[in-house]
Amino acid sequence: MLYLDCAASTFIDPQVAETISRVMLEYPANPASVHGLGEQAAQLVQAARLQMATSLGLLSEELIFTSGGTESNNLAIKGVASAGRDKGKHLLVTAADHPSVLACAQQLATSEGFSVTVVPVNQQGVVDPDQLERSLTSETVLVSMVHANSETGAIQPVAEVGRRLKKYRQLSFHVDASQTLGKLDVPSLLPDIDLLTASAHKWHGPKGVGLLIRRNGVQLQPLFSGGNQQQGHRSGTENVPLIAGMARALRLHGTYDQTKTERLYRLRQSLVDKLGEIPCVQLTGVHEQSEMAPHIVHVCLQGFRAEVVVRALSAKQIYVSSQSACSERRSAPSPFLLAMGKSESEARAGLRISYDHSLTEAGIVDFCRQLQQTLIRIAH
Amino acid sequence: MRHVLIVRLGELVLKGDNRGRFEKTLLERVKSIVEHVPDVRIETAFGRIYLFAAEEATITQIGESVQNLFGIHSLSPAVVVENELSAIASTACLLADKAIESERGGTFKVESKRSNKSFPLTAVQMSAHIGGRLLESFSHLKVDLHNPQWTLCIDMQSTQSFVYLKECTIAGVGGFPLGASGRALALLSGGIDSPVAAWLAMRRGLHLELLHFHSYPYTSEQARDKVIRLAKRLAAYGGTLKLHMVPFTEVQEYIRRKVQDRLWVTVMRRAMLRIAERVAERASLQALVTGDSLGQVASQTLGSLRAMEEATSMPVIRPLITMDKQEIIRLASQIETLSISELPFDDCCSLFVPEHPTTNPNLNVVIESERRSRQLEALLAQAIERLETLEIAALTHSSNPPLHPLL
Repeated sequence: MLYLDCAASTFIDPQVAETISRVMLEYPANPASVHGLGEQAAQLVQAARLQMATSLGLLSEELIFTSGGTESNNLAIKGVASAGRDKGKHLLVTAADHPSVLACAQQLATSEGFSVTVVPVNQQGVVDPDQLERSLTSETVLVSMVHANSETGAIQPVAEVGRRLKKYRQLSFHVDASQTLGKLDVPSLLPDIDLLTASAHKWHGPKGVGLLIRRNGVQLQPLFSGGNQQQGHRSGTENVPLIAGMARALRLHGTYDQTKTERLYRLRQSLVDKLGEIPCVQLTGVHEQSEMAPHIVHVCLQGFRAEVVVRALSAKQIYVSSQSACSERRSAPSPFLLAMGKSESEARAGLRISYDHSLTEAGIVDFCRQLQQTLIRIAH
Repeated sequence: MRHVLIVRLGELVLKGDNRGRFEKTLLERVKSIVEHVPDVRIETAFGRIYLFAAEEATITQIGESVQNLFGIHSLSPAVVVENELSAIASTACLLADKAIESERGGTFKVESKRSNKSFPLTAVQMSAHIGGRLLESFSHLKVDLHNPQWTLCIDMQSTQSFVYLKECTIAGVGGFPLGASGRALALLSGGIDSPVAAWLAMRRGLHLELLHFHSYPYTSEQARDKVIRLAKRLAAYGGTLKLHMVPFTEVQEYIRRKVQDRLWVTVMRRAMLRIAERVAERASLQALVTGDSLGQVASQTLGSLRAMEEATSMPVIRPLITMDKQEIIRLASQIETLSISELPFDDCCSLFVPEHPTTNPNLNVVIESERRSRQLEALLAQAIERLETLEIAALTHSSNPPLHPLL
């Protein structure tokens, strides 16, 4: 089996699964309860919070535990929009953003009367900071931007935008780092960021839990009403097992390590080189490695419908992806590829190969051979 | 290109006859760090240790660990060149390029030192020559001998020269090498202050053992883990160290029963010092180290300190005595004990605190109430008997330890 869909989800680390199962059995109480068992659960959550905050260089109250990337994005965007509606009603998102960001902004536009600007991307799938800055108005309360696009892996100029936005004090800057935490040096960006989304199952943690980093001082209207857990930012009993699992996964796999990233980039180079030898395969995005996420390679299979190739490879137990997983079940051209100026047929021909540290050179050779055979078979 | 880390020893070079021993202690510590790193060569010179490596990254990596050793004044990463004018000049240009690239500014000076007197140029001539070369190569640079934005240093040794930017020098933590000042016992509570006090004492050359009082079931297993974690962090600076865990529950319960509540803390702390003194004597340690800071809480007023000190004849060293809380927190954060100390598990000092503890205990009353607590002495002896000693090895930053066994 070759699992090459790590940008959609990674396999859970067995140690993390063990933590979750043990916490489920051994910490049964509600962390809000005053008695001993409740106290134990609360202390575990607190230790998890502190451990994660410390490894990211944050204060522990700057972490909000959510149910994952989509909730974090919703909380960031709707939370800032509602809290700041007196200051202005303009939101700025980018065409590279995840559907949960785009749909969220769209919803605020149709039902709450916000105006939304979607900053376009160039042919490489990258936003231009100048153009983004020109799109700001005195009414802008939020700029949301993905760190690396989940489909092609194009890295967006988050550091540059963060620096420029420093002078616009009325607005908050949200970054969706679902794809990049642990793979790129996200902690170094945090000083210029107000809100940041991360999702545990992208770094060998469990599904259904994530983080919204909220820097101190950023005003946020909660999505949920309830028991005011997590300082009121996210009501609802803390999911103790998944939070503990997330903390362990972050320690084991979510901490940025330059050596590991360099290895991922070496794998990427090797994959790009070998894919380049297959006819009809066209690399998407920039050829400069450092401007692409280290764990994603995206290609267009000229003249093919990618979903057919995905199913054919799946029969050989090779698992890749045609669009970003969250919209995959719909058979439509990729909106992001269209935004990059690709034709409709090209936008149906995108194949994403995404991997983790377990990929080997032999795996790459095997994958490219199988892909080539599959393409030959389908073409006839 | 070869690289070197110039390690300059601190105050210890002034220490007359003991210097050799101190230097040897420090050299051993440096060796223990470097032995895990491939291809590093060590040389020593008066007041200095040189660490040679082929890669600049290796030098950076060793620097991060060596920087934490006590007894080091400063560290400079340098490039090693042959004793040849053209080689020195081209390296100088390389470093100047780096200085310009990192936007250090356009004014500079060259500082040379010549221990190799056979070199054809004197130090002054060398500086002038290299300065001239830099001015030729970089048209926008200017020399400023009094207030330069960066300084290029050339250290001419007998067989080679070291070239470096003065601004890349890293300050060491100073102090004396471990053990140079003797051995002592530090009381470690689990709070923010006591690990800082221990670190400061170690920096002054004290080899420490640690003592912790626990009061299970009033304190939790997590509180115990927390103290072990703190000890591991301290061991990163002080090498493997002993942690003595004293069961203190029965002593505390007894004091609470026998002594008027205003004096609980005073009597309890005196009991701690008594136990500490005996543990120290048994292990041939010569002093006690505590994290007291004057006036921080009721038990740290001058009156309370006086009443406590009377319980022991050993010197009690209080490195934090005049420091503000903010300074202590800053140090705790710098030595990376703060995040451990902030874990929310109670230690035995925060238990059994009366509502109105006295800030000025009357020593006679204290001694009298201890005299009336007839079993106290026996309970102290029993606590010492039940003491458990752990060997604690260093917790390095890179091992990225979990805060809880399940995390």
